[in-house]
Amino acid sequence: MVNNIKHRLMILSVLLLLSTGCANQPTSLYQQLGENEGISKITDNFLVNLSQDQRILHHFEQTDIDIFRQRLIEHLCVVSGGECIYQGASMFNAHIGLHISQADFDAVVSHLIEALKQQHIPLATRNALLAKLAPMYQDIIEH
Amino acid sequence: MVFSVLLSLVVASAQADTSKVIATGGATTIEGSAGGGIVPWAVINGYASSDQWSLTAMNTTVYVDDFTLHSIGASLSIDNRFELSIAKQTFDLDTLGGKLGQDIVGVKYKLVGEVLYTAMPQISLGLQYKRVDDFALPQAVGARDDWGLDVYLAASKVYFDAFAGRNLVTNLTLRATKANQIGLLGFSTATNNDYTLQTEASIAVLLTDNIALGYEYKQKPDKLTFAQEQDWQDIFVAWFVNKHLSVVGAYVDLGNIAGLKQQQGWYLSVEGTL
Repeated sequence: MVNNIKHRLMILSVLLLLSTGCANQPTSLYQQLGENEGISKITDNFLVNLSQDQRILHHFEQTDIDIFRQRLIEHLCVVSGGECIYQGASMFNAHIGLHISQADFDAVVSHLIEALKQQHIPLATRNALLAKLAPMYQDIIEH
Repeated sequence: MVFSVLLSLVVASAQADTSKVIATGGATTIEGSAGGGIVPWAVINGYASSDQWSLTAMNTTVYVDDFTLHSIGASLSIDNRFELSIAKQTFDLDTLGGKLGQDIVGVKYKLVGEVLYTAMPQISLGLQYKRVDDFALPQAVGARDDWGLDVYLAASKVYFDAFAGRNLVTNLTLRATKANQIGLLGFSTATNNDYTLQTEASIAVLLTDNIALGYEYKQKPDKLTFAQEQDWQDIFVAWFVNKHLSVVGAYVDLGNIAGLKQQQGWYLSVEGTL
């Protein structure tokens, strides 16, 4: 009887250990991106990459970069499951009249991938984020 | 020689102005169209996106037990919409003696979808006009024509984060063809001049951003009576070194060819893109 209880306690403690082990692992995509701090750094790298690309710079001539940066951070936070509030327009409304071409979109995706790499975000996390962002193509392109 | 000059040009031009994400142009098949090694995909070759163009040159050799297939080719891609390609194949009958060959002119047009971004797969329509160099041997083994036209419909889609955090590339191609051994042994026979519908498929996992591991299957007709023709398959590793250089290595199984059984061996392709 005592042995049986000991045995059960052991199993319980192993389970507890395992579950705390899991709790210490980042679970949500938001956490894997480094939460607010990580997403801010990714955004800054991304903006620097964009600013060096003459092909797409003209799209940002009328843009307040500080506000754009803040909206982008909020957007990445919401998309990755963080508890933020995105205060910007919908992806569709935000790109009306900007004539974003497929080439522009492709270039932006490459710059985002590069920014994620610069922050040492692992491949699986990068792919998980791209999976969430890719469908926005329809709302952003040419309208 | 021409190829190495092209390649050095490609490597010298460090900054092409093309936008597509690396690896999304695929490799180039032995028929000159963008795809895997033996299956054309719906993707357009190179890295040109809208309002851009790119040039790709490839040099491929397939060594199997009793034959060597050599293919050189080039393609022009416009707007990520059109692909024009040419390829010259020479097929050495190493143990039988002799040589076969053909020229292939291809065109591909993207109908709908975006391989990375839309739920709808990217779907393209392709044509390949093929003409054999010397019709004597194909005619002797029963081929009817020295030229043929292949028509194919290809669908390609990348699934992000498909498993273990890796992206999956899938392709399905339906091809109407009259070709015997992809055209190297001519087209149709005296008794059978019908198009046959063949299914081809590829699947690949992007292990890293620029290394893909994949498998391809190519169904083939079997019209010539002198020898059985079998389906082809391969397992490939593609390394997209950068946007200007990629290398594909594969282990291929071409089945029975011209009465010689189980033709298995190696495939090596190097290509440069401007």
